[in-house]
Order: sequence, then C-alpha cells, then structure tokens
Amino acid sequence: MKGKKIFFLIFGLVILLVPIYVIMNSESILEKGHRHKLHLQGFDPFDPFRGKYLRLSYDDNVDGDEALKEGDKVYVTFVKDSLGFSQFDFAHKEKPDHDDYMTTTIVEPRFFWDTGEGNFTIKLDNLTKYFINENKAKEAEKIVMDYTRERPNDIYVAIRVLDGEARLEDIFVEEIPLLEFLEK
Amino acid sequence: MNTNVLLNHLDSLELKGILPKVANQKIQEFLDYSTKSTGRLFLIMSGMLGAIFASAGIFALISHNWDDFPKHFKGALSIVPSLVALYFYYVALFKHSKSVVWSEAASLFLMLMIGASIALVAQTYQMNGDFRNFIKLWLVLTIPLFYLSRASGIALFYIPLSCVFLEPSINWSWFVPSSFDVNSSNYLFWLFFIPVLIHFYLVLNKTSRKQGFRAIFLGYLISITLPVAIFLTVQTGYIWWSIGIMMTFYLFGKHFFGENISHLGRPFQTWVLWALYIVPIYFTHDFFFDMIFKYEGIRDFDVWTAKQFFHYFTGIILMITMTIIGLLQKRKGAELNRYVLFIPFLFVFLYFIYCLNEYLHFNMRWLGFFVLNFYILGFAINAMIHGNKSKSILYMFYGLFLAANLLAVRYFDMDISFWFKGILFIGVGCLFFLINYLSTDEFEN
Repeated sequence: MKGKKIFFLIFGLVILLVPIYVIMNSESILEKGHRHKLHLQGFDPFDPFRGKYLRLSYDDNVDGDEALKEGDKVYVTFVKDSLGFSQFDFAHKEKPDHDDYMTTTIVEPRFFWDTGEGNFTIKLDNLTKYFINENKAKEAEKIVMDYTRERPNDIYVAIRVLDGEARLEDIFVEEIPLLEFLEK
Repeated sequence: MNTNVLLNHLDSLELKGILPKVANQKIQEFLDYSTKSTGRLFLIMSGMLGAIFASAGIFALISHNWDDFPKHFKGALSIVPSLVALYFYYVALFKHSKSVVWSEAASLFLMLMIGASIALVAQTYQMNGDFRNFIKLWLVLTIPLFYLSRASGIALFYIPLSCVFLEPSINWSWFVPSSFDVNSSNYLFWLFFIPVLIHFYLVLNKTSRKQGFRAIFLGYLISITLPVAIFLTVQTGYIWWSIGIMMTFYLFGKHFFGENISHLGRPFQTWVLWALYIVPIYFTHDFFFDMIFKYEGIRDFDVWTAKQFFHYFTGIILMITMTIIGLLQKRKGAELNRYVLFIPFLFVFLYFIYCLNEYLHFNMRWLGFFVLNFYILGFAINAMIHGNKSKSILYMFYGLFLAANLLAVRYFDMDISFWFKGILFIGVGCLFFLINYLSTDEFEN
C-alpha cells in the first residue's frame, strides 16, 4: 500500500507539473522573447474541440540551406523591413549563435528548375490559431476580414520568439490588442 | 423470462417433486451469479458513461474561452481539471480499492481531464501546437493508469488515440487501385500498444479457458486494432501476415477463450470465423486472385529494400510458426478445427499456382479454384455438422450461409452451359432440402 501511495504521489505530481511547466515556459517566452510583427495573409473561422478560434495564415515560404527535405528540423531566422514588420527569412540546418530564431520542420521542399533555386514551406506550430471567446468570435472575424483586405498595414500578429520556441502574443488592430479593439 | 418469475417457477417445480432440491439450489446459485455479474457490468458502464459525459461538459466549459479572467488566473485554472480528477482517482485507489466501478470511472475521468488541462493551457497561451505531440504527451501520462488501478475501460480512448500514428498518406487514383505510404511514425503506435498488450495479459485468467467481461472487452479492441495496425505497418507479405495473424488469433482464442459459452464471448475466434467467411471467397475469382497475389510478386524482389524483405519473411515465419504450433497441439489432442489448420497449406498451394501462371505461363488456376471451392464447401458442411453436435445454432447458421454464399457467387460467375448449371443447382437445392429434412426431428419438437 505504501509503494502504491508513493507511486500515486509521483504520478499525480507529473500530471500537474506538465501544465505548470508549459505555463512557465510560455510566460518566460512572452516576457523575454524577441518581438516580431507579422503580416496576416488570411484567416478561417473554425469551431472545433477547444472552442472557437481564428485560423491565421502567413507567408510560410523561406529560402534555406540546400539539401533540406520534408520532415527535416530547421532553425528559422527573421528579417525586418523598414516598417518594422518581420518575415521568416532563412531555414538553417545549424542552430544560430543567437536566441532570436524559431525551431520547426520542413513541410514541403520546392525546387524551381528554371531558376535553379529552391525554397521551403515551413511548419508554423503555435502561431496559426487564435482562440477566442465564443461571443466575440463573430465580430472579431469581421474586423480581421475587413482590415486584412482593406488596411493590411493596420493589422498584424505579434509573436515572441526565444531560443527556438514561439508564442503568439496577440493580434493588433491599429496598435490595439484585438480584444480591446472589440470593446471600443 | 424475468429472473424472478423463473426462480418462482423453479420453486414450484421443486414443490411438485419434478426438480430435486439440490438441482434447484444449483440453478438458483448460477442464475444469481449471472444476474449479479450482468448487474456489475451495468454499473461499470453507467459509471464510465458518467465520466465521459462529465468530461464532455468540462471540455465544453473550457471551449467558451473565459477571456474576462486574466491570463495568469486562467493558467492556474488549467490544472484544476487534473487536480479534481486526481482527487477522485485517489478515492478510487485507496478508499474503494475493491470497487471495479470506481476504478474504471475514476481512471477514465482522470485520463480525459489530463487532456482537458493540456487543452486549457493551449487555449490560454494560444498554442495550437502539434496535434501529434499533444496526443503523445496525453498517452504517456495515461499509461500508468493501466497498472496503478488495473483499469481497462480507458483502452476505449487510448487505443483509437494511439492509432493517430498509423494514419497513412493515401495516393488516390481514379484509374488504378489507390496506394498508400505507411506512416513513418508508426513505431510510436507500437510503443503505445505494448502497454495495452501487457495489461491484457495481466487481466487474462491463466488457469482457465473461460474469461470475464474485461478480457472479452480488451480482446475485441485488440483483435480489431492489431490486424489493421499490421496492415498499415508492413510493406510486403500481406497474405502471409494475414494468415499468421489469423492462426495466432485462433490458437490464442482457443487457449484462453475456448470455454466461453457465447460466440460473443470469444472475440478472437469470432474474428477468425468472419475472416474465413469473407476472404477465401474472393480468391475463387480470377480478378481478385491475380490482383491480391500480385502484391506478393517475387518479380519485385530486386527492387525491394531491406525493410521490405524483413516484413515479407517475418510474415512467412509467423505463419509457419503458428501452423507448426497448431499442428503440434492438434497432435496432442487439442480440439482444433482441421479446416482452419489447413488454411496456410491452401494459400501456399494457391500462391504456387499463381506463380506457375505468372512466371512460367502455365495456367493451373482451374485446379486452385477447384480445391478452394471444395475447401469452402467442406468448411461450411463441417460447421453445420459441428454446430449440430455442439447444439450451437449460430454456428449452424454460419455454415449454412457460408455454403449459400459460395453457391450464389458460383451461380453468377460459373462459365458452364446452362443445362448443366441448371441440373447442378437443382441438386444443390435438393441437398439443402435433405439437410432440412434430416434436422426436422431434432429441432421441430
């Protein structure tokens, strides 16, 4: 019975530590991570298991080291334009010597025979879903749709990146977080 | 008949002197046991359904997305489902350790709440993450539940979730049969499946050939999942693997489930009977015969990878091993069906005939079809005779439909003159009438 109790205690602790670890890790990235503003390319409203969310899409094609194939682990770095917007820049096989990169995998390698160049589609975990309250989803959809189509420079997704991990900070509309913008 | 009515009836038979007192007592004890065990099953199922629906409700609450609360509060809230479920699990483990109902319901609730906690953190921190990683983490945290409380009901969710790692990428085609590429992560499925197999082995009653509800339930889950998983993992040798699995199921089922009364209580044998009902009949047709054996074509040997060779020969070794075990057991006097033991020999013979035709252009398929048709007919008649002897009406029906199925197919595809076909099928019809006539005395009264 004593052995069973100890086993239960360890098992219970592991179960509780997993979400706690994820929370602390996410808090750390959101606090200390490098901030990038990404242009939103489009979105789809969805209604699945974890509640309503907006599925966000970005330009996920990057140049990269040669000989990368589907499923390869890569380190993606960013480049900023004059307006302060970031883009996924390059997929490296080797880990960069700074902490402003995102670890991901190659979804689809592409090679253009006419130019002799290739690029890669990367997997964007943790950046493609914006979970939202069920009562606000409809209005948020409309705002995101209007701004993406008519004023793309006034809407962006802020992400935080630290040591390979990325977290979505928020969607900003005219520099105001989406949920606050909805209350205006 | 209602059990109470039956008990009163038995008492009245005893009073009238028709039924001896000892016999009445024994029957009443048996009925009481069987009512209690069915009642226990009802309690377990209602407990598990309670856990499932309560969990569904909690998932729905999470889905609302309570964004009025600050992020930190929501983060802290995410461990509450696991915490509450852990409390119930603790109660089940230490306060109701003898109660199967508590153990099953609390384990299932904890399993689902682990998923709910991870989902809530993901929602709070906008992490859609990789679905497969989420499942991996969830399954790893679920494994101890199989052993800590010996819970089996969780397998109902655990096994389908682990099948995510088997999902093949299908190359659909309109003009030729579609093909598929096996999932490169399928080893994860096997890693997650092994704990279920160990749990199943621990649940089995090793001293008897009769198993309870728990083993039957796990038996069905395993006997459905295993063939599908093997089919989606191996790249060659499908026929040898299929026969190997079938022989394994048959011998395993006979060994551990042989004395279970109902056919539903013998999951492994039931699947073998279904497979024998459906599969061999396909091989009696030219098109399917060629198409299925083509996948095993030795002409492709030179382009096969080491992995493909390994799969092919492992399938053959499994089939041979199981056949030898079956034959040895039969020699020792085990009650095994000759027709099932004959299956590997039959398919090796059919494959030999296919090879003669494919590689040496020596067409002997007529002989293969001839043998196979007689095999199926013999198997069907044997099922009817055996069913009659053991008073198993269901088995008799099986034999009857198997024969009828074979003959119906032959009626449409047999390329012989109509007058001969007519006489042949009148004879077959008369044979069924004869069976009916011979069985009349036994069943009509």
